[in-house]
Amino acid sequence: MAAFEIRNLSFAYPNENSPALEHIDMDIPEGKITLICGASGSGKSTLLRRLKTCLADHGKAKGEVLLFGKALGEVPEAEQARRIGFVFQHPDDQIVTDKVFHELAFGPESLGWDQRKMRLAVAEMASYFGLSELFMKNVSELSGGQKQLINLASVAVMRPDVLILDEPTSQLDPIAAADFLATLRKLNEDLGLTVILTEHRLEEALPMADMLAVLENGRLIAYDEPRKAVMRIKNSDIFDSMPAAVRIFSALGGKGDAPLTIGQGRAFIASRIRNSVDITRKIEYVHGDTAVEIKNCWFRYERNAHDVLCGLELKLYRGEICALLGGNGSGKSTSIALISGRLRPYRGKVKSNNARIAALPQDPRELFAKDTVSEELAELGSDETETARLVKFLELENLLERHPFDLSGGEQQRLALGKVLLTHPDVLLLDEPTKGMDGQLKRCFGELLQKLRSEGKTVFLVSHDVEFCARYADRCALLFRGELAAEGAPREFFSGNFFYTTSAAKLSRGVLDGAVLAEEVVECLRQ
Amino acid sequence: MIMKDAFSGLHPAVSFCFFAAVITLTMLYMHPALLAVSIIASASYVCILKGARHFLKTLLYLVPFALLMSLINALFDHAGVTPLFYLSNGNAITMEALTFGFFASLMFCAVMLWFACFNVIMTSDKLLLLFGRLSPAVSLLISMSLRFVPRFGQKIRSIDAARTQIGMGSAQGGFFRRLKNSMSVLSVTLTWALESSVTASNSMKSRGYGAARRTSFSVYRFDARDALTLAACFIAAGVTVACILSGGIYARYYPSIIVSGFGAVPAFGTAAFSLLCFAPHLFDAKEALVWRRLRSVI
Repeated sequence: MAAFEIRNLSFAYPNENSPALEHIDMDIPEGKITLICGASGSGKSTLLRRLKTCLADHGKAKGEVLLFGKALGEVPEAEQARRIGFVFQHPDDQIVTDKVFHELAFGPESLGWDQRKMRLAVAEMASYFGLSELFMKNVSELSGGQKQLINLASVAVMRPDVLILDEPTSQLDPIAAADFLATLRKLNEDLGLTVILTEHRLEEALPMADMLAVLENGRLIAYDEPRKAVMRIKNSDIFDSMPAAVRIFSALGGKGDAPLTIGQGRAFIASRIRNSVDITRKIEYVHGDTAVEIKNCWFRYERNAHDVLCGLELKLYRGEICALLGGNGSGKSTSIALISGRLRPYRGKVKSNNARIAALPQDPRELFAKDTVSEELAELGSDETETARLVKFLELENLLERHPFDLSGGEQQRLALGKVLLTHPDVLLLDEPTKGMDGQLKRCFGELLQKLRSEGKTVFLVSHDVEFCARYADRCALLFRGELAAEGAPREFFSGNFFYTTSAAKLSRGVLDGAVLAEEVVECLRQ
Repeated sequence: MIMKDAFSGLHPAVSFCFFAAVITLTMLYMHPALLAVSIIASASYVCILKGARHFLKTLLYLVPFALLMSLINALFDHAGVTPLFYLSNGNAITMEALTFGFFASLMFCAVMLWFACFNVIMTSDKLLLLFGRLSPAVSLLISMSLRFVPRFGQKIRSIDAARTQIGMGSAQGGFFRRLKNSMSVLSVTLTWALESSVTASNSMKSRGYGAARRTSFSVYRFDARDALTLAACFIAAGVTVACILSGGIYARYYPSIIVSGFGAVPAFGTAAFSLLCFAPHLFDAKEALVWRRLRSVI
């Protein structure tokens, strides 16, 4: 039986000409994981929210949605609250109470369960998710990944039939995201829960999905098993976000079911190559003058705390994009704060050779204080010709009268970048700039950074996003326990790494050493 | 060293009643014997909960304060029949005023020490549970505020740091510039708060908020041990009050000092009050004994 039957569903927001969803027809199977993907603005979230009455947006809707054969509108609110669990994107915003146990009990409390039933359900969930250590803690003490697990647990505690998740891992680092997806998979396998999720981390999410639905401009353009569905969307915008194995397979004209995992991809590549090739070549890195120099910096947050940075040495040159990678707690964000002057090292020095330094916050909305985009840009009081040039450069022409908070994530990022650029920085510091971006947005943003570099600016970014750094950075460095563990041009840097590297490099290791991007693999295999 | 305290593991209602009884009785009647019991019990319980070091630090301001209070009372209050000496303006310093001041400050110290213990034991979630019983809505409101207020402060700092990067931080520029910058930091924070509250309200609705009559979850269970302790506290407090009301325990400071001496009734009342005040100690001692016995069995 289908958990959801969506029949000819169309939806339009009030005062919008084009519909957000058009004639969606799909059966979401019970007990399976259904992955919905699409570029930002394709209607993924709108579709998910139509599956729960209390979250559905206001507007004109046609068609119908059935929950286990019964029209959704006829299922009472309390029953929907229990049977359909919904997890949102931002881990922090959806937590309501201050204690972990209270958050877990929130749903049962709302549904008016008695003490015995509540106690059992909460205890069960806390042990299943391994939360007993966190049970009495304040929510504010938790990491982002732990918070999102609490959010999942606090809907699972109501024993739902269906779990719906709207980009649940977009704000998490790769390790926490993998943990979260693994838990989701376990819930599906152990309990037979139906899972419906949207994701842009397709590299991890695609292999675990049973069904893949692809949306483009509000239309369902493919709905099938992932290995078949991916082959039908070659010309779609979203294809850029597909796993490297899929892109290589498709570019080389593979027939039949596409490989999704690294293992499947390696088998495919091995079948296409006779002798292993090594295309590694060492290129001398040509750089400009030094813009900023971090000299033997030591830093800790409190006197009795441990050192976050232990003798960090790093030079940033004019006209380069330098990426700093590293796990959580390795000191990445701290090094940005040191360069920007917000924090000071207790030993060592940060020398900026008269370079103006400005940092872009992780959340671009922190910079917005006005009602329209043009007012935002005017806030910094620069002259009109310069503003006009910047508007063109950042492609903000059509958005000038919009409210900054109504922009999409990628547009907000560009506007924030514009505000920072109006202060004429020589060095631009970015903290996780690609968080929550899909493949297409990343490409736009990366190209923007390359344009800035060609104007002689220095871009320094810290990121978890290995693929982005490999593609757009001139130089990559790995931070581990407060000091640099490795440094080099992306090709050299990533082909030397075993775990901390791009999927293309993982796919081709051994048969095609030195390739870091999917295009390189494709090109070599064609020859 | 901080010892493990078993008494704080009791149901919040028991802890709350205990503190209510002890603090009220201490404030209610200023009898030297009762005060002595109360201050010794509270001081030692602070030592158990927070460590002797912390207690000594507390003494550093409590003792001077107590001395000052008794002195001030003697200087400004001249009632009493036993003048010790006369001030240059002819006012008498009386023994009664000095004594009263001393015991009043002792009472004050005891109450302060009990409140120090109260703060350790009655954490926000315990208070929430007690008052959540009265109204689940109020309890939810408090819990949400406890989450929101620190988040708000954190966000203000983060927004200020972000705006400092474009020269619009709250500490940049002249006086008026700073004022203006601070205002816009605040306005951005408010916008953020509104934005994030949309998700919060969706998340609440989605988990059935308002769909049924709310109940309140409790991590504590009220068991026989709690009932027994609560009953014991009530009896001890009742006996003390009965002894005071019957006049068996009696203290008067003005115009002359009369304090009930030894006798069956005062001894009985003081014993009951001691039992009440030292309940946490007895509890901890029993626990320690049990553990020692268990260990020797192993």
